[in-house]
Amino acid sequence: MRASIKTLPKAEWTRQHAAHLLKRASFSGSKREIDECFHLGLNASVNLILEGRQPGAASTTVKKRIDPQLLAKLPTLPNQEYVSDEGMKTAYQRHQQKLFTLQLQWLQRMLDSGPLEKIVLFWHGMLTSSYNKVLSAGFMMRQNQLFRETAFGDYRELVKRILLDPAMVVYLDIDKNKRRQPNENFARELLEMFTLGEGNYQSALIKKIAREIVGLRLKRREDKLPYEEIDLKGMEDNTGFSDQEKRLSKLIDSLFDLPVCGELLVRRLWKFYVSEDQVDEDRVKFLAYELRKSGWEISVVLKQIFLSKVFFDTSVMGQQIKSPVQYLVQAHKEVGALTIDPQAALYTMQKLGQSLFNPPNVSGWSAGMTWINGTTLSARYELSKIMGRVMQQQGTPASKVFYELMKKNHDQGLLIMLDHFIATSLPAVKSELFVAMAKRVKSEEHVEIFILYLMCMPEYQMC
Amino acid sequence: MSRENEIALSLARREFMKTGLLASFSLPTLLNYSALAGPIPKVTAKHKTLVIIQLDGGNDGLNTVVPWGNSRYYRARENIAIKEADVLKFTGVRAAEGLGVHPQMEYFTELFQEGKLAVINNVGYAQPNRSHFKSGAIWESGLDGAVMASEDQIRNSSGWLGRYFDKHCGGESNLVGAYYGDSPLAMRGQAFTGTSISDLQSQPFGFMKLGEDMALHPAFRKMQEAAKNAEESSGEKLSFVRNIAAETQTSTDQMRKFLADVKQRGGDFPRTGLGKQLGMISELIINGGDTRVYQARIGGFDTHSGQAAKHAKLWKEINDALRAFMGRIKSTGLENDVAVMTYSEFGRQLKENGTGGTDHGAAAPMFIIGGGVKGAIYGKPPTLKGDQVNNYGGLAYEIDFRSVYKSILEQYLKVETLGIISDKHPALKLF
Repeated sequence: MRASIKTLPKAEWTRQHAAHLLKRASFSGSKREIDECFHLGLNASVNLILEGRQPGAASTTVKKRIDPQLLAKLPTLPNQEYVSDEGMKTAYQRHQQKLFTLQLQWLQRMLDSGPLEKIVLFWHGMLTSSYNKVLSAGFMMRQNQLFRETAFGDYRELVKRILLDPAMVVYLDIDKNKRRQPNENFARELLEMFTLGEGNYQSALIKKIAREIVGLRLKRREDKLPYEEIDLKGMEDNTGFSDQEKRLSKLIDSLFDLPVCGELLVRRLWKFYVSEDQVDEDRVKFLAYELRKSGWEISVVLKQIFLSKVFFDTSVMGQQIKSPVQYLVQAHKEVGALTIDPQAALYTMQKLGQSLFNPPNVSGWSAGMTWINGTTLSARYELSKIMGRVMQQQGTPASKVFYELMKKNHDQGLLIMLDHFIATSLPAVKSELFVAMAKRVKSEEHVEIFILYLMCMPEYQMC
Repeated sequence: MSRENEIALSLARREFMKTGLLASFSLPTLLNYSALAGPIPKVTAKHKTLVIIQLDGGNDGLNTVVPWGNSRYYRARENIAIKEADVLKFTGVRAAEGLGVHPQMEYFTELFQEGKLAVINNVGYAQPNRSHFKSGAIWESGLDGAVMASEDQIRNSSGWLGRYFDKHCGGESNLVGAYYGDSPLAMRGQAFTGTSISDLQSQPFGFMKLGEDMALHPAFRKMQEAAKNAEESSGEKLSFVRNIAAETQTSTDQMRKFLADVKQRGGDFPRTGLGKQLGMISELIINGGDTRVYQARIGGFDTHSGQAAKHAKLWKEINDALRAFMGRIKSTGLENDVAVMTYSEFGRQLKENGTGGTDHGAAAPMFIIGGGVKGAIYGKPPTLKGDQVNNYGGLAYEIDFRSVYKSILEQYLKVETLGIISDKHPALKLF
């Protein structure tokens, strides 16, 4: 086993590294935040991030509340043209509204406190539940809050708590286990998706766990019709788990005692924060060991990752395809917006292939190249057009910031702007046309158009 | 300074936001529909075209093709059975005795009379699944293993049309398949996913106003080209995105070029969801697009309650849209080059439920329509005897849906089906 992972030498730290750190550990930053992160240095920035704070963010952020009127004025949700049944349509619409309210609120949190919400997004993808099955905004919100409370904390504790989480109980039918026919589905997910990973357990273990969780019940959970809301109030005096809690806790402990436990989590963290490419197995073993040693503190692993030299390697920087959520929140950050635009959010949730609180299946989103196809790429181009409007309407428009810079020193300002939006090489800069355009930029409006061009480049899809 | 540079530099935001340099990526909304004047020109087809109408939600087969001659039907459905007097009965063919269609389906009886309607009884598959999503995925996949696989596994595999595109449409653009609604698994292959045509007629978001000029702005094109021709050193994922960007541009260009040639519009299509879809599809077909398979969608078939009114409304919509569509196709001489197939993820149970509806079942009839179709009744009408009704009340299948797919592929699209549909399923003789 390797002793450690090489850290990035202090002398090598650049502004580009700072930008990369904020893109991956958060949802990028405004120009000011990136500058601040660079000045703080890697160590201090990572420490802030692991407290869930964005380096350089104003400490007294005015939290923008979502204007309820905006919600009421939302455009008609698509796909309803195919539903002819009026009753279904209303129920569908009602749920769509609830789901979208959840989504919009979370997206706003992401914009407000990136590093914290990034890890919440990680958990949502790993220990996932879906509104489509749970059909309760309250349950989904509660689960989201559980992820937020855990954040960079105790992985084992989170797994224990997620088994008792109402949304998860409904999502994985945990409470539908009958003694005669133990449902092995949940047991399988617990081993495969939450703890050990595929191929690292035997079917006897599945059967054992399935037997253990027989009898788990959400108290007073009523049978429900499709599209019927589960009553959250019925949950509040829920004490139904207590008699089994200890046994369950021991069961989870025994899983975490297995040497392989932790490797799955490290792999997923690596994939989420660093790279989808094959991760070095020695590195996984080392980080999993550190994780176990720390008493399952995620922050320990992430700290090692964020400080490492490999995290800033050219094979990593700018080599991840942005998820739709990353795209949306990052674009807001980059153009200097303070409030998530509802229309941009709705468009993202419905057209780009990642609807928050609604993952396609128990393994979350498959990410990487699956984000991009002809339809979703066109949708991303369309979204950048919406972002143009957002840029005009709120905050300190990036166009203004960069125009000021370019007035002082045209070429330098331009380069900073390119770095701000494009995380990778941009062949277009070599084209004569690009140079000519860049040279003639002489108003804020020109900069704005230029930014929209940049957002429609294939390179803009990378982070 | 080159002309292109000048164009680029004179770009003003107004123009940019309005005509939408970016808008050129979504397909034009409004074809210039001038009322058709003069005789309709005849068109020669480059290839056969299949139009699928997906009946989303699980269509009640027994109230669609009604076994009015079978008393078990009436016993099981005291409230929602179609009265014998209301059934539009098939006549003239022995196999059609005791069968007819829902009173809203007049056009289907006309098609049957003309020998252009194939009614295939009891279509389904072994070990039927009652989940909309899973059963839908099984139908779309067409793979034998699908029934035993998880829904995710099915969704991660390929669809029957996708395999057809891969095998027989290599080198063509993604326009070989075109669909309304969500990207269908059926059209997913290794190299193909199909192209969404939803945006041709409806813009989901009102703020996108598209101008008439759809030409891509030269400046943007140049920049995209630079990206396309970039050296490979930029990493696998970025290269991938660049390729998709280039491909997307190509197929958008093709579609735009093609639509620019669409000059007229005829036929009197009902202003319903399906009417609009079939109207647009007829236009695309008549103008000689490369699309082999279109998929239209109509939803609302999940009639657990108050079925009678809902079901009638749905079939009226289909009946009227189809009449307009086939009329339009026939008027341009393409009748033998277009076939329509209807399918639903499952049928419904024999017995009505307590809320004037029916619950998820299994086998149901399918329709194939077209000038080249051998109009007939395929398979026996449901007996509705105990042995045909499965343990939860759905109907057992007699014809596997893959036998229908195979017939379409082999006899209509004239391709070999090895690797597309398993050889366990003999093709019906529908054409």
